[in-house]
Amino acid sequence: MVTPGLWEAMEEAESDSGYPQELTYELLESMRRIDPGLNSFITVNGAAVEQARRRSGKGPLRGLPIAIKDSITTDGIETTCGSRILEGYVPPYNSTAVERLIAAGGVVLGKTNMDEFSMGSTGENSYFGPTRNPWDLERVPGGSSSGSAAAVSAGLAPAALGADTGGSVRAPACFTATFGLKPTYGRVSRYGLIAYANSMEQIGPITRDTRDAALLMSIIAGWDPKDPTSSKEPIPDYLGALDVDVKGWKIAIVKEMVDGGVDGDILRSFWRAVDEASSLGIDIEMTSVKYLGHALAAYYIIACSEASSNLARYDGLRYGMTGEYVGNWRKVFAKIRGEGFGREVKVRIMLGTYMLSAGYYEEFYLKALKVRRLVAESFYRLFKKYRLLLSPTMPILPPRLGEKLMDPLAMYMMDVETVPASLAGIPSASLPAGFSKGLPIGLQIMGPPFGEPEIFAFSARLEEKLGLNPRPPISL
Amino acid sequence: MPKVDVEKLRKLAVLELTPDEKKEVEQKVKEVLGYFEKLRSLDLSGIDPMYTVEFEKPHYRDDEPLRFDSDELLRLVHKGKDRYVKAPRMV
Repeated sequence: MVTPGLWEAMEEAESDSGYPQELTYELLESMRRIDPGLNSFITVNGAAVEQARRRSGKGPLRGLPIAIKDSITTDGIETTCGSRILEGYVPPYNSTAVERLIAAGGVVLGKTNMDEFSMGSTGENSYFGPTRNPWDLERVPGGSSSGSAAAVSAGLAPAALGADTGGSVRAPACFTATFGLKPTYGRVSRYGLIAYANSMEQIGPITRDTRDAALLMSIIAGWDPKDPTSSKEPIPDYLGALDVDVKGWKIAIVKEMVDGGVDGDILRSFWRAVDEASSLGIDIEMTSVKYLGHALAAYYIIACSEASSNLARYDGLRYGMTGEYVGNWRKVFAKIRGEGFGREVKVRIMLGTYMLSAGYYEEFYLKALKVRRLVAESFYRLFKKYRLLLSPTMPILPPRLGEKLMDPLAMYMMDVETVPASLAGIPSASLPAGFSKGLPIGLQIMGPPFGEPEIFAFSARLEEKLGLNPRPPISL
Repeated sequence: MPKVDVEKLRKLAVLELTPDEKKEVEQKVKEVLGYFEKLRSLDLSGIDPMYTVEFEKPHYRDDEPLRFDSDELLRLVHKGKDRYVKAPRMV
């Protein structure tokens, strides 16, 4: 069996009402065979086949299964966020994104592996073990939505939801040759998304192609009274956007993002993709984003600060793991948190605590927020002139397991291309753009606020032109 | 380079660290702080901090109580009695 993408599966389900159930059964069977090597799922939904049968024919998704990142809350299905501290936590409610998928006839196939609390760019920082890349099992699939991307790439799911804070959808999409989108901040409700850096993170699709992502976005996007930061901007016709003619569009490449820090092989593939883009009749220029050299530091200062506050709630009292009550609350909470959080989470909590402490708040945190404004405004200005901005998604090829793990800076540097869009809250996607040494390379497409339709239009045309349709060596 | 008092940070963050972890966390925190240093030298006076994305003002819902099955939530609690959550000693 070759696992279809979501759109193809939908067409199949339209003519055969038994198909969603069959597909779900097949996927669960294949998972047993393939997933021990990939480790893309933490939890499988034991009721998925039955739910696929019951929802067959309902809504646009007709009972089709979708993999969900384990930071996205699912009613009755364990949600760990890749952390020991949430092991055994079975939420009594659905995140809005999952609620909407279910209302559209979707089924939760399972919960995918991820860097603990989304803190990682490789997929290795999970309490449940590292996820591996189906293109090369010795290499990382990118993170933090590592399992969602590995599963879609290997055909263990027709589509998945991930979540992106500083590149957590785009990085694994890039490393696994899948399509990933971080939507505009506020476009998708964050209700039920376990918070890491709440001023930046967004739930987004990871799919085989642009069309599947447009389809998922048309289901999950939109205002939600349960998330005050969700936008009331009307939902455009994402699927209709796929047919929009891009001829004559003006698009720019961000100069600072194609400089010396990017691997030569990646640059070669990037420029080839740019050539293909110009053959679509697109006018391509070079441009510059101000203060971009400070974006990575600003991003990590803000993300760690928000994390130190957001992760204060884990005390072992009300849910997740617990421990013996020996001593006062400080001792008990410190012990539970010390045992429940992994190393990288501890490092980031400590960094955030430092940034927010007296004396350093103004010097680090406030400065980072000011850089954020300068970077964001530079982007917004550029979008008055250009429809979209382009860069490579990742500056390096997927590293080998363990290669970046012990060096936090080397790991953070991997996010240099993806964090600017996160600071600005603009939508940004990664499209498979080629290969080097058999490993995937991604093109990052950044759009103006609420410019998902422009991203989809351009991505769909370029995808057609590149004609990659990649399937890794390990796949169904 | 600012000084890092790991013991103080650890207490503020309410985190227990093994001696090994302490060493590793201290080294990593220092390394990352070193990288953040270049930001400190920037003159950004007159720029407003951007706490969050500002495309729209937050849309708060009306202040009306919503019903939620609190038994569902209490089922998640490990230590408790009747409808109370048992917590460690506070003082």
